[in-house]
Parts: sequence; structure tokens; C-alpha cells
Amino acid sequence: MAEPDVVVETRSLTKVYRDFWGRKKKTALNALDLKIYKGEIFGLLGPNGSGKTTTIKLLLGLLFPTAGDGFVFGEPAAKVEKNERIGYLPEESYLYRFLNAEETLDFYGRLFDIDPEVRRRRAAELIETVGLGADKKRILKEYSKGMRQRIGLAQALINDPELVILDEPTSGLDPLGTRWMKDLILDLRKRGKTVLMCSHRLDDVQDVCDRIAILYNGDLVTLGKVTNLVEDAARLEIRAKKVRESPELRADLEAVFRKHGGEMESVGHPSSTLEELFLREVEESKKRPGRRFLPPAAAPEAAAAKR
Amino acid sequence: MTPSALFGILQLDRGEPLGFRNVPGLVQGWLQDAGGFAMVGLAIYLLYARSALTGKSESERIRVPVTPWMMTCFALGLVLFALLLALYILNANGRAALFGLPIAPPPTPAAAPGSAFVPPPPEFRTELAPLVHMVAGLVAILGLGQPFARDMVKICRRNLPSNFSGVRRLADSVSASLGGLFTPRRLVGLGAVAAAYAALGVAVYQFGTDRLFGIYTGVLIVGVTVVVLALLVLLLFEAEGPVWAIAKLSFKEAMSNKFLWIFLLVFLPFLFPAQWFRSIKPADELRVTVERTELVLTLLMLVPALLLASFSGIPNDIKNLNIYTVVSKPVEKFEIVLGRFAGYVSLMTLVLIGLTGLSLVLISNTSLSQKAREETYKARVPVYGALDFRSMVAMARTDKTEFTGTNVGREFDYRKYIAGHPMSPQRAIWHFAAVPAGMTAAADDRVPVEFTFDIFKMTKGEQNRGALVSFRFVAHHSPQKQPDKIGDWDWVDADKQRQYREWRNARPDLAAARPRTPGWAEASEAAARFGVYEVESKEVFDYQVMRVEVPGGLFRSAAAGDPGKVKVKDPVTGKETEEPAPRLSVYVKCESPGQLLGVAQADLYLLEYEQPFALNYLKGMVGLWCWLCILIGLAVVWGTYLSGVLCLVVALVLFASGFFTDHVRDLAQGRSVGGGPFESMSRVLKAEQPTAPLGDTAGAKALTALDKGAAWVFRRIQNVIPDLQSYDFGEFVSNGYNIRTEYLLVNLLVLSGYLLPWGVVGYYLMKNREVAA
Repeated sequence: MAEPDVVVETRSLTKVYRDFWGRKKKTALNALDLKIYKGEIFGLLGPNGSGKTTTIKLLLGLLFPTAGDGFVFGEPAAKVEKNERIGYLPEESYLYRFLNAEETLDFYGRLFDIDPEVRRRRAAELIETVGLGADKKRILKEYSKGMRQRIGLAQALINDPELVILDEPTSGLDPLGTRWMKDLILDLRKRGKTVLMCSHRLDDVQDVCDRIAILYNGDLVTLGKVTNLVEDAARLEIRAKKVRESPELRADLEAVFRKHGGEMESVGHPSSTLEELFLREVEESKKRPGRRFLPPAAAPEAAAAKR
Repeated sequence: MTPSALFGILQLDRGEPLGFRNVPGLVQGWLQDAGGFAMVGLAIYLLYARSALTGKSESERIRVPVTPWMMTCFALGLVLFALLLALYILNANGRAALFGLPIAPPPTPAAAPGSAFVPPPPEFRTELAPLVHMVAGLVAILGLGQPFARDMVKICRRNLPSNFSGVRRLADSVSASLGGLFTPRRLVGLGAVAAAYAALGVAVYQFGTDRLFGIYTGVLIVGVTVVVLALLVLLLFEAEGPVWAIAKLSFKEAMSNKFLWIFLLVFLPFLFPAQWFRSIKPADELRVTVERTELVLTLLMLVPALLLASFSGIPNDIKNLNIYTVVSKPVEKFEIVLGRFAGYVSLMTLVLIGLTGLSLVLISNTSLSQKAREETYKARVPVYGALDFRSMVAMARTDKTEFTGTNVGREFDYRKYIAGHPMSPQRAIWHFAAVPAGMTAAADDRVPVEFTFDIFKMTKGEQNRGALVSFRFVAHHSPQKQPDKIGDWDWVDADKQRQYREWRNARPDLAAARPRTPGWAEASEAAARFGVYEVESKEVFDYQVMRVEVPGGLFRSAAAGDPGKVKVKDPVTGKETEEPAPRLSVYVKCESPGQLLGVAQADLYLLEYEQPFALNYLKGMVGLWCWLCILIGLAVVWGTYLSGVLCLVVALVLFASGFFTDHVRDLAQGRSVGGGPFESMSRVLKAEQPTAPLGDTAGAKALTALDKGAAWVFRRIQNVIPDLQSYDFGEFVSNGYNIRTEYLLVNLLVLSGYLLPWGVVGYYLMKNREVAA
């Protein structure tokens, strides 16, 4: 490969699904050209059936291309050896449910050429990292979906991969788990890893991804930096502290904007996201055990009036 | 009651089990059969490669490689197969030789009327067509096998520790695994179980019977053996490499499968000896028990193995998408196939060892009758001779032909008969080309000779009395002379015969001496001197295993000197060859008038020695283990492409067809009564007898031509299905005959030869399967 920093490259990668008789059923991916660079978090976005997972499967060799080719670390996708440097978390945690967490990591670790001592140490660390230390002897059948997703991530990281491929990583996770997963993805970037993730939870992608590609019906429709793509250059946002909203303020602001050839759209208090509220409340409850929601003072009176 | 006799018949029916002498022929046959399929496979592969993007995509070039080597092999294979076709056409046109070399082997002679067809044993053929076929097959195998061999080398490097580092890693893994296995909690549990079992042992010893204590001890030994072996297997699976990791996974998966254990528990009681449930004729107790135990064990092994390999293996991985997390690792897809196979075979082998041990403990500690112990609770090591029939010289006989034994018209009886009379010149003669060295220095200076004969009564005779039979054991330097009139056989050397008669008349006590009696040594010395030993008028009963003891001196005499050569005429080619003359011959004569003595080749043998029954029983289970490997192999291979149910059906059909190889062989070679499938269908529709002549109409010719086509298809099917009967040594065990290690080793070779092509099929199916499609 000419560019050393390119970790993943697809060249006119195409996948057409056919039936048993070879008749065309669907073009899942159509001539995808893409490059993912070292150290970035790249998001594949798109509605269901747009070709996100197909792209990942083609890169991993789970599917064979109908045309074009995919390369990872400069190696063709069909080459098994390239998988030494890849960690993959599938959409569902497709793990063996009769194994416990330790056995699961030992099994997947043994599929790599890792020294047994290193493997065991890494497995123990990962179990702690994903927060399953207390449940490591329980078989996966007894795990909740979120726990399975965590152990799934641990198996994806058992080889300390340079490229981590995450297919819907926050699927099935509660907001706490989602935040934990996003933090972990950001931490991976800090450690120099490249992350390719696909998701249709746009907020997650926006929070962590450096660049994204949007696929629709197998076609690449948009590609670029998240900040550039979501920026609305036609609008201006001004935030201020210690000012109360009032008709006078609104009139003054309208005058200023008119003077500069603009038009005011709205003035109001910004709101945080529901995720931020949830995380704040949970954090508060952890600090103050027994804390409960109390109805507002007017509530008893309203109830009495109802009676 | 005919079980003992049946053993002789089955030997005749199937021929001698495959031994080392058949290996060259087996290898040649394998190259021809597997090579034919490889050529077709190579053609399909190259066509498939043309449809893939090998010219444009690097990934596709890796997935479906087409190398110059493969193309060369394909081209060379085409030329060689075309040459083979040309040779067959030449041969069909009546040209039997080319450049002085015969083109094809002579046709196999049809079986005599009323006799079963015994397929000729595999033999290396040096005619042109088989040689060209073999080379063509080899070339095709080399072509198709190149990617497989290359990947197998890679797989072996990854999974077999080849250097110090690999061994160190294995040792690390094993020690860590041992530490994990023997946790304090488990050790306490193990100690508690051991203590409880010891307490039970004390109780059984104090209050139980010897037999019960024997069972207790046996179960303990079997249990400890299985646990130790299971530990060894698990430690083996700790070796570095994906194959071992997947094998361990399969082992654990199967262990966690409740169906296996419930099935075993339900059928376990049927392993108890048969006579615990019903009364059986004493002589047959062991026979029936062994046969039934083998049947139950077969069911207990094969059913769970098939279900495990079909449903829990690769089809289940693909269905549950577990395979995503495995294939996305640096794992060759064929490593998954190998790992699955190794895991299931290991587990089922442990179960087989456990159940075999348990059944053996129960059989050994049951109250077997003395008769059963004498007949079958042993493993005889027999030395078989070649059977011949002779009477007066041909010119003295009415039909001027040599006597070849009388056919009494018994259907499904392969024995031939000699007429009984004190003056009868008819003899059944067994010739032994060699005498095992052990017999010249046998214990107590005696060699047992065992026999089982059929007595066909022309007159009712006396009730509960057998026929009187005489045996003359003759060493090569005291040859006998075929008489030219009714009466006894004389010696060629009349002086020697006279001296022998004089000695015999003078010492009648020595002639009747028994082993371990004072006269035996002298009788043995006389047998060595004269080269003859006679047993006269022994009462022989219908279908009973009986024996006579022959002095060791006779065998020393037979082993000494050079017997010279005899000319032997090939019944097929008519060619005469020289072979070593027999060192020892046994002449059997029936003396009871009105009785015919029926004999077959395996009915009389020299008993070299006896081995313990238990060892033979264990050896007999190797056959079942081979079945297990075949079934699991088929299921794992088809699981690479088919879903669970389809995989089960295909594996089962292929495997079960192996029980009907005789029928398929008859169809393949156009020997079935009533013709092939098309002719039979026509006969059914026209309500014709199967033996009625077909006629000379155009329709009949068309049917015959169609059947020839069907026979070709059946010949290919015959190559695909396993010959399960060749692995079955149950008759040897149940009738008390030793299974030679040679048979087992050759069977393992045949097993490898059967599984290897399926492995290649699995390799290509798995490699080209889109697991996420």
C-alpha cells in the first residue's frame, strides 16, 4: 500500500447477494472506496440494510466480494494472518454460552499466537476492565445482554489489536454502559488504536467519531470529518452567562443582528441531553444512598382537591 | 446351534481380513478411486476459479488459488485418463496386450453355483490399465491436493510444537491448566468421592460375594482409567494452536450437552450380560452376551456421536453466528473442522473406553458356564491351512476327474463333504506351508489342533452319537500316495510306512498316549522320526469346537529340511507357478458309514497359542472406534456446508449404506439376481420371475444398457460409502478367535484412506463457504 498510515482501504468493494441458483437478490454494497487512517475513530452510518455490516464482514473475510477488494494493514481481506492485529465485536455478542468469562477469554486468546503467560495476564486485566470480576466464574448463559456485550468487547481486545472493529457497540447497553463504552473507545484512540465502528445511534457516533461515512442502499453518500459535516455555517450560536431573558434583551439583540445583516431566530435557555441528566442523577444517587424523588409541595393539595 | 460353524462360514464369505500383504493393492486401489474423484474435483475447482475474481482481486486469488502446478497436473491428468480410456477401448476390442504387456487384469471368475461371491483381496496389479489409472489418479490428487497440502503444512506448524519454544509454551499451559483443575474445592470433592467409594469397597468385601467385589474393583479401575485419560486429553488440548483450542471447546460443549448423558443412562443397563435377563444355552452364553453388548455399545456410541457432530458442531456455530468470532481471528477455516473432529472423537473415545471397560468388568465377573469358557472365553491364535479334497487318482474314478468334495445341496452352506466309510479313499486335506517356530518347542510338547465339522447324516444312525473321524498329520518328508483303488492311503516311502506300522503295532499304548503322561515323550520322538502322527476314530459331534493334541516332535520334523516346490495352477489365468511345498498336511477321513463330513477351510487350524479374552474384547472395540471416526468425520465434513438436519441425514445415509456394501457391490458389478434397477423395475411391472430370461428384444437391450449405466453409478457410490463390515471384528471376539494386530493396523490405514478424501472435501467446502451469508 502506498500510504503507510492507511489501516483499512476498500477499492470498489461490491457485494451482491445471490440465491441458490445464482440469481441476484440484492446489491448490499456498491463500489465502496474508503480509506481509514491510523489512530482515528471512523464511523459507518446508515439505516438498516445500507451495507455497514456487510462492509465489516467483507473486511474480516466472513463474506467474499463480488467485485473490488478490501485491504487491512495492506493485506487482502482474505488473508487470515491480518486478523492477528484486528479485534472484532459483532453486533450481537455471539459467544459460547456454556463457557464462563475466563474460559471465553482463554478460548479466544488461544486462537491468536500469544504467549500463554501474556494471555492469562491480559484476560485477567480485561475482565476487570469490563467490570466482570465478580461474575467471571458464571457461564455466559446467565449473563444479561449488557454483560455479554462487555465480555464480547473483552474478547475483541484480547490480542491488544491495532484495529478494533465494533459493530453496533452500544447495542443492548444501558446509558451507563453506553457512556462506559464510549469512554473506552476514546481511550483506545488515546492508546493509538484505530477504531472502525458502525452504528445507527447517531449521538454515539457524533460523540466519539473523528470521521464518518454514510451509506444508503449500498452506496457511499457522505464521507468526512464529523465536525465539518455537522457544522451549520449559515447559523451563529451565541451563549452568555448571568443574563436573564427579557423583552428588552430580545429587542436589543434583534437590533444588533439586523445591523450585521442577520436575523434572530430564538433566545432561550440551553438544555442538556437526557443522557447527561441520567448520568448526573445516577452519580448523585451513588454519592447519597437512600436519596428519593419527592413530589413537589403542591402535589398533596392537588390530591386532596381531587378527593 | 451353529455359531462356531458360522465363524468358519463368515471367514469364507468375506475372505481373510485385510493384512499387510494387501497394503500395496490397497494403496493402488485408493490412488485409482480417490484419483478419479480428484480429477473430477480438480475440473470443478478450475471452473469455479474461472467464475471467481481471481484475475482482479487479490483476496480472491488467495481464496481460490490456481497455480501453474495445478494446471500442469490437470493437463497431465487429462492425458493420462484419455490414455486409460484408449486402453479400455483396445481391450474391449479384443486386444489383450500392448507392447507385449497385458492391458487389463483377467476378469474375476464368477462364484460356483450355490456359493457366495468372495471379492478378491486387494492386490497390486501390474497390467497397463491399472498402472496408468494409478498414475493418473496420483497426478490428479497432487493437483487438487496442492492448496490443501500447503495449508496443512501451515496448520501443522501452528498446532504442533516443533521447537523448544513450542514445547515450553505447552508445558506452561499444561502447568497452568493443572493448577486450575486441582482447586482446593475440587480436591476436597475428589477426596470425598474416593472415601465414599472406599467405604463401599469395605462393605462389599465384608458382606458381598467375590463376584461383586470383582465388579467393584473393575469399576474402580475403569473409572480411574477414564479420569486419567480424560485429564490427559484435556492437557493435550492445552497445546498451543487453534485446533486444540477448538477441540477443547467441542469437548466442553459436548460435555455440557445433557442429551448425551441421558441417552447413556437410559441404555446403560443393557450392557449387563445377557444371561442376567434370560436363560441361554451354556455354550452360547458368552457369544450372545458379546454380540448383544456390541450392539448396545454401537447404539450408545453412534447415536450421540451423530447428533453431536451434526447439531452441535459447525452447523450450530453458523446458525448461532458464533463462527463470526472465530473466523474473524487468525484461524484457517479448516482448523475449525479439524478441531471439531478431534474434540468429538476424543470425547466419544473416552466414553467408548469407559463403557467397554464397564461391559468387560460385567462380563468377566458374571457366572459363565464352563462350556462357554472352554469355547469362547479366550482368543485363539489359529494357523490356517489351505483346504484340498482328494480321493482315488482321477484315472481310477468313474468320471476321470479329481475329487473336489461333494456338494450335498445345502443352500448357504459353503462346506463340501467327504463320504464316510472305513475303506473310503476320500480325504479332506489341509496343507500348511509353514510351521510357526513356537510349535516346535510348545509347552508340554503338544500342539492343539482344533476343528468344527458339520455331519450330514444319510442314515439316522445312533442317537447322541457323533461320527468317527481319523486324522493323519504328515510332515513333508513322509509324503502320502493317492490310492488307485478303494481303501486307505499309503506312503510314498513303503519302507518307512512298514517301519511305522511295526512300531505302532508294537507300542499301541504310545499311539494312544496323552500329553503330560509318561508315554508322550516317546510318542513325540516317534512322530519326529516317522514324520507322521495319527489319531484314529475320534468321535466328532456336529458343529462343536473340538480338539486333538499333536506331539511337538511332528512339528520339529515338519520344520526341518526343505520341502521343495510344487507347481500351482492359477484358476483364473491357467498359468503354472512354483510355490513352496507344504511342510505339514492333515488328512481327515470320515469312518462312519452313511455319514458325510462337511468341512470348510477355516474349520480346522493349528492352535498356535491363546490370548486373554479381555485383550481380544478391547481389540474388537477398535472396529467400533473406526465406525465412530467415520460417522463423526462424515458429519463434521458435511456440517461445513449443510444445516444440522441435512447434515445428519446425509451423514446417516452415507454411513448406513456402509452396512449394505455387499448389495451395492452386486449392483455395481451387475451380479444381482433379476438384473439391475431398470431390469428389475421392468420385471416388477410385468410380474416376471427374477430368474426368467429377459429375451432378445430392443427393449430388453435398452434395459441392459441402462443397467450398465446404473452399474457405473453404483461403482462410484461403492467408492464413496464406507465398507463398515471390514472394520467389524465382533465375530472374532464372540467366537473366541484372536484379532491379529496386523488386521487392526491395516484397518486404521484403510480408515485414514477413507477419511482423507472427505477431509479434502471438507477443506474446500469450508474454505469457500461464506459463513456470514
